[in-house]
Amino acid sequence: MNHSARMLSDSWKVWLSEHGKKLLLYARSRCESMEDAEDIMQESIARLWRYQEERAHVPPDVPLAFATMRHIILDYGRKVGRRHKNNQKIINFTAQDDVWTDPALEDDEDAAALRKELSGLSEKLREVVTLKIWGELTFAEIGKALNISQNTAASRYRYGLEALSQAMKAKKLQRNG
Amino acid sequence: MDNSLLDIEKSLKKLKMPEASDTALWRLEDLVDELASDGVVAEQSPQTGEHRSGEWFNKLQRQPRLLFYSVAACFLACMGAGFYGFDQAAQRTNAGTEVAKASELRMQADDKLISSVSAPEDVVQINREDSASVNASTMSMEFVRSDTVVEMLAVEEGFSEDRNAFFRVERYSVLDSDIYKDPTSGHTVTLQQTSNEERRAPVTFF
Repeated sequence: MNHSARMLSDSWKVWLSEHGKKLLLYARSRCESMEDAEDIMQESIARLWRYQEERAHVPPDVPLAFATMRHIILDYGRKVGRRHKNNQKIINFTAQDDVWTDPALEDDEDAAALRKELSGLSEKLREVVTLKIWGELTFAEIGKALNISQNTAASRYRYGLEALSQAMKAKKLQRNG
Repeated sequence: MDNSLLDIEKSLKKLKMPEASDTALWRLEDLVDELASDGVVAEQSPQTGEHRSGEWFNKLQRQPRLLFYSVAACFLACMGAGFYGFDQAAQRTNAGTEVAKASELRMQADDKLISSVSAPEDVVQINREDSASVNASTMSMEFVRSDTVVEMLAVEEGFSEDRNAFFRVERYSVLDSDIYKDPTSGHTVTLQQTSNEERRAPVTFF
């Protein structure tokens, strides 16, 4: 590999170290397994590389990366089967050993309930919440990635949180009699 | 945002997410190295090694409508071919029992047009005015739509002094199903005449 190729490769590696985990997490939230998410991530990188050809292959903007990945995920969804995917594509936090080990939350039961409610959100709301909380995107970036307006992204986020809040309040009321 | 929403937001942030494995990140770094070195990547699943996307497949992935249109075109083509085939089969089945229709009937004698009838009925009755009185050794009939070539049953009215025949086409009907096999080729058929003397005359169908 020559010097320029090495420089290019390094710049992408820096980019990946900064955003790779978020992208992978997003892919994971929309597909059935981490293996599938890794496939999607790899395909996304290859496609982004081609997209960036006219820009001398510099690493892409993060919203473009999410948007590209989203398209690939949609194709993935068609392949897997929409019905089957609807049952499975919800953020797969249910691999309990991997995802529920954080002792910071005071009440495991609340956290488990929150995960369940998050899974029950509509896809539109859940996607925005995922990109905002774990993708760490701004509303403007979310809008760019999902091809919606910034205000729509913010509204969906607020609706998502409100739905979760109400659901959690109801759970607590139910628990406390 | 009110406090309850902020609380939910905080709780969500505390949910631990599945971590990307080191192996996955190494694979991505390898991919980037590969892309940077030659710009060509074998797009294979890191899990199964299965080839996932060629150029054609990529195009289809980017344009699912392309796939839809391709399938629709194939479907329509198959339907068209099927209907044509059924139609042809029906004609063959009916050959010999049903008179075919021709859009136009032309009579020729020695390659000279002597009569033309448009849109004849199932059984053509060519009037006396249409009959041919020619000096000819051969007489032909051409059905303009080649797929409706039929055999002719003609009546010879008489003979001229120089033994040239007067032909009057009385009717035509499908007699020989073999004609359908190659309607563009010529066929010689037997003419039935009204006189007592039976004779054969070559009649060519084009």
